[in-house]
Amino acid sequence: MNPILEVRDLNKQFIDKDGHVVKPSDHIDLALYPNETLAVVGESGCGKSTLIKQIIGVLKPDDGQILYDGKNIVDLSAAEKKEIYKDIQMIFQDPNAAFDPRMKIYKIITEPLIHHKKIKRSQAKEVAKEYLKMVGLSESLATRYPHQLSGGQKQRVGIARALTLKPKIILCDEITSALDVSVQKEILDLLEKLKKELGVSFIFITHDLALVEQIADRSVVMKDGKIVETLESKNLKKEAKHPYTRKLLEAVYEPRGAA
Amino acid sequence: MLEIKDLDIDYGDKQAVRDFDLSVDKGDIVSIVGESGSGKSTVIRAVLGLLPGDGKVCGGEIDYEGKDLTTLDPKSFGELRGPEISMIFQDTGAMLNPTQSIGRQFIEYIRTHSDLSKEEARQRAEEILREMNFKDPASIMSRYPFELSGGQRQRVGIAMGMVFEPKLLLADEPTSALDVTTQKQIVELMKELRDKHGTTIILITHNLGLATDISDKVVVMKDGRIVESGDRVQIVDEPKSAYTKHLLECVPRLEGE
Ligand SMILES: Nc1ncnc2c1ncn2[C@@H]1O[C@H](COP(=O)(O)OP(=O)(O)OP(=O)(O)O)[C@@H](O)[C@H]1O
Ligand SMILES: Nc1ncnc2c1ncn2[C@@H]1O[C@H](COP(=O)(O)OP(=O)(O)OP(=O)(O)O)[C@@H](O)[C@H]1O
Ligand SMILES: [Mg+2]
Ligand SMILES: [Mg+2]
Repeated sequence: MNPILEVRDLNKQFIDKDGHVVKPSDHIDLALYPNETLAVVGESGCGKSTLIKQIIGVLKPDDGQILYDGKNIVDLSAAEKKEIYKDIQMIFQDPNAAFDPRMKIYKIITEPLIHHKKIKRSQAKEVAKEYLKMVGLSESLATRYPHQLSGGQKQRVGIARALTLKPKIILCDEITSALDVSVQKEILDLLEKLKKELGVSFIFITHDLALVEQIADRSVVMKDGKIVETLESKNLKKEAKHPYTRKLLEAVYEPRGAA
Repeated sequence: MLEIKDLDIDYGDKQAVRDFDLSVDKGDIVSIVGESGSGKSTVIRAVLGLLPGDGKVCGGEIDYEGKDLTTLDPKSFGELRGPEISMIFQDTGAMLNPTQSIGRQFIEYIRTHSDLSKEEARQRAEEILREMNFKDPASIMSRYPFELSGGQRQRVGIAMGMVFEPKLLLADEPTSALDVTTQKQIVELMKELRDKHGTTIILITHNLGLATDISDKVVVMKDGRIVESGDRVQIVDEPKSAYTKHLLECVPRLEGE
């Protein structure tokens, strides 16, 4: 099978005003197959968000290719981009940065649908309420502003918005870290359903290694802008060889009572 | 040291928190876990007198070392915040000024609450950033908030919350954006802060593993109320409420070796 998305020899560096160089993408190669969940784990600051921001076109790579359905999407015209990015959606790590604070929740959720002329403005409120329900939120949040929601509620609004265009690929940047484990499970069940019913593929950034075992078909471990290990099984402790991955596995907290 | 009694909080005419009771001794670490939207952030913001928007305490008391914080005047609150009671916000990004470098904000923060010189403040800031697992604090100091990763911003927030070794530290999901090794390092620092300086810590987290590892007491919330509280044995081995049991069942766990 051909990958639906492929990243080839991707490079990206930042130089700050004092001349410090950071290289969050250092010769990255990656393939995502149709109907696959690929997890990305790694140290804070290693380049996970930078990687998927380049895929979604928010950041431009210094060099390298990003192929969607075999076509390089790095240098597209605005019109071509608009078409392609109906199929690829991203749920951002920080909902505050992704939302316009002056927009009510129902507008935030339906913005992609309006932008692509899928619905009329007059329908926005009703449509948004359906999506709110889908992510386990009360319809009454529709007319609030982002700052009037709790952290986890905002996170779920971001999830709802990304689902509206029925994308083929969803890039998830730590989308459950602000949720309690019960809501987390509901959201993951919802994503699993989209995967089964619509064949959606996911790149899933998370710090939760147990979650990786549960949901990922494959996972990559990143450190300092490089992929250091690729894992395929549902038992990471057994499979992991790289010292950094092993160190991560040892640092996991699990609920413990008297023992 | 801190005694919260029958606390009720509303946003406008909407109830957010009801009948919240919590008693915390000096040097205790208490975790609050529970449903998203159940009022966890609201409670600890009320302790600090920083309820957003039209949030207001409409019943109950927050007794801190003999003072009722629900009726404290803004000036006295100003003196408490910072060196004495400090907070790590769930959303550090919103707390930092986007137009100023991290270094400038951090140094200014230290200097408004102490009489360190600019250079001393810079050294202190770099020192604590190093403890937050930054290999190159000077580089972090020179950057603007948008130039940091999510977890890096969160660590700057933790550094600012811990820099004065406060008597009471309110930490709202401080490690949710961190990889597990960095998280562990920071959790160890929090324990050290408690052991060395007797800091009392109230920690909000969704990580039940972390909550049960670090805390003397765990409080479980749902729909604005406490459903259960107790030490880790009570919560993990003998949970009473169906909700706590359900939460424990939802925790993803690693397969064994
Ligand atoms: N400024 C506000 N105006 C109106 N309602 C608000 C405001 N801030 C929070 N709320 C509401 O109050 C309730 C409690 O919010 P709070 O932020 O305390 O929840 P939380 O337990 O911290 O949730 P999370 O785990 O998702 O961060 C939520 O239903 C939220 O929508
Ligand atoms: N606009 C920018 N200018 C300068 N440096 C940046 C910029 N954006 C990111 N960086 C740096 O690039 C590196 C990678 O950042 P990135 O956000 O990709 O990390 P991450 O793996 O997502 O981390 P986290 O788990 O903490 O979110 C970090 O060292 C960060 O400080
Ligand atoms: Mg990130
Ligand atoms: Mg909160």
